Amino acid sequence: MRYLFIGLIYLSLFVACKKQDPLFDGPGKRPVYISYEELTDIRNEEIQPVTNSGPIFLRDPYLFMVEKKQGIHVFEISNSSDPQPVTFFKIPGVNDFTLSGDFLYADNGPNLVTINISDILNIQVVSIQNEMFQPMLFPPDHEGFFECADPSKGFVSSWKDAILINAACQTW
Amino acid sequence: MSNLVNMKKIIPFFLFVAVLAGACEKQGETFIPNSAQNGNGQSGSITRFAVYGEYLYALDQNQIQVYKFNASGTPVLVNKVETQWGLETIIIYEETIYVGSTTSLYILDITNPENPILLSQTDRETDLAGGCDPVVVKGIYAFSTIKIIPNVCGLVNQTSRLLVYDVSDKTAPVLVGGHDMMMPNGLGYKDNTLFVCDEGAAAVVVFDITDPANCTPISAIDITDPVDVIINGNRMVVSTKTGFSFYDVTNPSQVLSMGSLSF
Repeated sequence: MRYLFIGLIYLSLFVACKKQDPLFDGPGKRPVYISYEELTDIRNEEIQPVTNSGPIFLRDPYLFMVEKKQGIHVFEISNSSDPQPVTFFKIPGVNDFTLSGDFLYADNGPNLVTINISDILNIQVVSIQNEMFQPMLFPPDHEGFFECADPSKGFVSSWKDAILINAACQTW
Repeated sequence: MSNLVNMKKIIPFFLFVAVLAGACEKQGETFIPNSAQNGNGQSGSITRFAVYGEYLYALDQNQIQVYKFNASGTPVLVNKVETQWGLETIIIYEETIYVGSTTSLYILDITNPENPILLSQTDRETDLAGGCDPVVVKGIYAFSTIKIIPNVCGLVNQTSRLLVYDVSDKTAPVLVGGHDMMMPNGLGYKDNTLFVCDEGAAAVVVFDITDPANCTPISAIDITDPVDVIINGNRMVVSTKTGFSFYDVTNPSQVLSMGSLSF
C-alpha cells in the first residue's frame, strides 16, 4: 500500500516534470542564484535583524541562530533578561550548523565549511569541501510552473515570483 | 552539475520530496544532546548536524554522512549510510542516533561511531505517513512531533501529532501514545515536563510526561511563531521566526518569562 502510494506520486511527478509542450508562459517561480564564488564570501558582518530563523545552538555566553540562506546571528545571553546581538557570520546558502571546540561546521550551499570561531569577532575559514550536499532544485511550498534550475548558473539560494516565458518545469 | 540529463533524472526525486516535505522545510534541537556532555554547548531539536566525540554526523536528503575530524578540525568523510529520501533531523542519545524523516524514525547504533548500524526504521503508514519530525529521547521513550500540512505534507485526512514511542527495544520501537497538535515544531524536556512548540497554536504546549504513554497537556506558553527550544538547567530558550525568548522553568508548572529579543 505504502509503496503503491509512493509509486503513484513518483510516477505522476515524473510525468509532471517532463518538458511541457507547449512550454508555459505566465506567473510562476524563478530561481535566484548565488555564484559559486560568492558562496565563499564568509566573514563577520554587522548585526542584523532576524527575519527567517533556522537552527539554534546555545553555548554560554552565546546563542547562535541561523538566518536561513544568509548566515548565523550571535547573541550575548549571559543576562537572560537583556540579550544583546554581538555579530553576524555571513555564510551564503546556510541552513544548518553545529559547534565543536573552536570550530563551527555549516552547510554553505552544497559545500561543507569549517570555520574557526575562537575569536567571535574575527572568524576564519579553515576549509571548504565542495559538493558534499545535494542541492534543492525545486521551489518549496509551490504548486505550478517554475523555471528549471540550472546549477551551472550558481547555487539556488531562493525562488522569486516571476512572469515566466517558456517554463518547462512544474510541481504539483 | 551542468549535466542536464542527469538533472532531469534528479528533479522528479526532489519533487517527490517536495510534495511530502514541502512546506515543512521550516527547520529549526534540545534536551541534552551528546555535545553538551563535553561542555561544548547544546543544539535545538531541529538540526541536521550532530557531533559525537571525534565524529560529525550530517544529513543529506537520503544519506547519513559520517565524518571524522582531522588534526586541523576539518571533518573528513569516512562513511555514509544510505536511507530513503526526506531526512530532516538528527539527535544522539546514549550511543544511539535517532533520525527523523518525512516518512520514518530511524534508529542507529554507534557503539562503533565510524560504522553506524541501522537497528530499525518505523513504517508510519499505519499511523502517520509524511510529516516533519524532530525527536527527543528520555530513557526508553522517544518523543517526536509530526507536522502534517494538508495536500503538502502527509496525507489529507491526518492531523499533526506528538508521538510517543517505547524504544526499550531499539530494533522494534512501539508507538505507545500521542496527542493531537496544530502545527508542531521543535521540542525539549526537563525532568517530567515536555515542551512542544506549536506554531499553529501560537504557543509552547507544556506536557506532563510522568507517564509517557499518557502524556497530557498541562499548560501553554503564548508565543508567536515558536520554532524550537533549548533547555539549559532552569533556563529555556524558545526561538521564533524573528527572535527568541527566555523562560525560567525551575517550576515547570509555573513558567516565568525572563527576557526576549525580537525584530
